Amino acid sequence: MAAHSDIVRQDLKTQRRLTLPSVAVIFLFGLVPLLIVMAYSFMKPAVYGGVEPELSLEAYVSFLFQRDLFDDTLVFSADYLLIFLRTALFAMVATLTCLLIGFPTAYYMATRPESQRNRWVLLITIPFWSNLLVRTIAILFIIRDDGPINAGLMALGIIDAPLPILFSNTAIVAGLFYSFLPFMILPIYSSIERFDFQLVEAGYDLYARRWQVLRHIILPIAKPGIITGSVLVFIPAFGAYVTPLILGGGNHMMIGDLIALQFRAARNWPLGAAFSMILMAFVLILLILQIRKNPREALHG
Amino acid sequence: MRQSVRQEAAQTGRGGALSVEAVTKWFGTYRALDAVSLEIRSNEFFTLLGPSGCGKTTLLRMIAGFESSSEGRILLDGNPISSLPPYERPINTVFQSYALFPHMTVAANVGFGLKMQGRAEAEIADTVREMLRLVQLDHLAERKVAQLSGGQQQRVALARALAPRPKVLLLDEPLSALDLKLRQAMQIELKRLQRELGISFVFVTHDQEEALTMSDRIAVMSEGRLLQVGSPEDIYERPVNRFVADFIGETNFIEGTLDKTGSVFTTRTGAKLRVGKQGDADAGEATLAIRPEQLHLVKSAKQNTLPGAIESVVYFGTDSHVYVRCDGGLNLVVREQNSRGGVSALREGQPIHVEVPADTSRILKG
Ligand SMILES: Nc1ncnc2c1ncn2[C@@H]1O[C@H](COP(=O)(O)OP(=O)(O)OP(=O)(O)O)[C@@H](O)[C@H]1O
Ligand SMILES: [Mg+2]
Repeated sequence: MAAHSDIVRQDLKTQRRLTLPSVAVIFLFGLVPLLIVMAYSFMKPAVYGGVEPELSLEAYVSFLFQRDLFDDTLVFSADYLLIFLRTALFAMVATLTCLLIGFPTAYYMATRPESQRNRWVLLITIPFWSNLLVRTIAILFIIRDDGPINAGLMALGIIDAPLPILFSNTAIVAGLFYSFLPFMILPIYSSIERFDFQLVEAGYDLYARRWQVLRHIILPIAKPGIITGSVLVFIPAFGAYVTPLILGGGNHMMIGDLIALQFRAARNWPLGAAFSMILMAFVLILLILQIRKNPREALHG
Repeated sequence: MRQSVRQEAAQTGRGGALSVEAVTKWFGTYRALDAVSLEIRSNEFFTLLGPSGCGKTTLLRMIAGFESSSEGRILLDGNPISSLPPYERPINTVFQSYALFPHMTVAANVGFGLKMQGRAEAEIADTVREMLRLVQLDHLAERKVAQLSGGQQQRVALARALAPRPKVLLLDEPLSALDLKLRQAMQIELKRLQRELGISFVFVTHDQEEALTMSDRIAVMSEGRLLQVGSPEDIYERPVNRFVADFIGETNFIEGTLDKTGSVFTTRTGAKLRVGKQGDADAGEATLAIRPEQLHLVKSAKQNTLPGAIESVVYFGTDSHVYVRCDGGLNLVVREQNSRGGVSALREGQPIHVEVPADTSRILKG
């Protein structure tokens, strides 16, 4: 007994030593930058970008308030908050659209013969072979005034003038939807792929109709995949920067653009850093709520 | 107070009668069922028996509504049901792999059918409680099904299929995943439930012993065709052909010819055996079939014996199987009661004679 537990302890020690390099990498490239951003958010902006090493809550205060130009009093201002809320709304609509399209797609894939499934997974991942910028510009070409959508609709005589899709909210949501759809499909697919389709038969046998089988049997079992997919789409959609920049034409700012703006044109690094921290905190709160609601199911695909 | 399920069933005797009329099923170019016709009576324990791949599951799935028939039709109490989807047939299935809903508790599984039928909450709760008591699982109602043993899952599957009170219950090898002890207990349990609830059971198995002990009637199938339908006694004592005789229990086959009178059988080695009058057997090439327990070992040759030598003796508790090599390469198995004595005195290679009683041997065509 004693010898055995000695070996186990020895094993654990070795394992811990073996994981050390990866822990170090995560610390260096994950945690340290985060700490730097956090530190910057509590400092004062320097004139030409960068920060003055001086403690200040100014950045956080200016998320909700504006200083009056003349008497320096704080006035509530919803400008940033609105951008923040709009971002949340866009991300939410994009996530729901992904779910609506992604679920039937994943279901279709999972019900193909086993030999064909890998082919489908491959097809779904093809967009990832090119980078996000390229894909976003491709979307731009598709939805612009003389792009195939408008050209097609006009050729069919459905519309007289091109629909102004580009540089609209619709364009941004469509871009987010397209960019992150695979993140929704793949986790759902993997949760349905292992699904025992005899359960569907058992459902029909026990007097359930089609939609009842979907609601009471398929959806609950696919739920972990749906949750994972939603989280995986919502988080990058929430922090998206390229998509609103290109498809929104700068008219419809999302939080990602706002952060970029502070670091570049506005040269207010602490404000940008503070926005980043607020964004992160928001996502973190959502995740914690999710995990507390579904302790075991959350984040398993 | 609601009537108990048992009383209600006993009063109405609701077990459905099924007619399967010339049902044929093609899978592409493969014919899984070939013009199968069956009558399953109300409140009957009916068993489909046959080797793997003979089409038992296919037939069951067609009765349940998961598979459509290529030709023929199925009627329940005289009404055609072939075009109804499964959820409109008052027929439930106990799946071989149980197919319990993993995300639900035991109680939710059992109540699922009732819920889908739109029954009232209180009625569902009552019935679930009663069903769980019936299968002796009332203490596990709130467990998730993954936390149950195989035998317990089996009972949940049974309770779930019985709860909506179907007219017919289909069971596809429900006991095959259980170990021997549990299987025997469940056999008795199933039989009891069927009698108490008054539901027609269609039971699929490839275990002939299970079929013999449980069934009111048995249908023996092979390669998509129905070979024989009858009581366990019919099937065991009066198999219609060599396949059935071979499949149900152990049988010795002796090749030879039957004379014109139909009462004398000549083996390949020329030995003459008197056989009981066979109604339907023709003269000519024939096979004599006889069960091991109907053969007897005798010390010296007399009428209706075949000479041979002991090859081996296998002890089986109450009886022993004695393997005898007869002349002409014929091997026979004789089952002797150990209580009769004398079996333990048998030695390998010892000359012996096997008596083939005329009244228990059967002549089969083919
Ligand atoms: N969906 C299908 N497509 C093609 N062939 C099938 C299909 N289902 C069954 N078969 C074939 O039909 C035949 C009968 O199958 P079935 O499952 O009814 O056999 P079974 O008697 O239940 O056998 P077992 O005892 O092994 O369960 C088999 O040869 C099987 O390969
Ligand atoms: Mg089968």
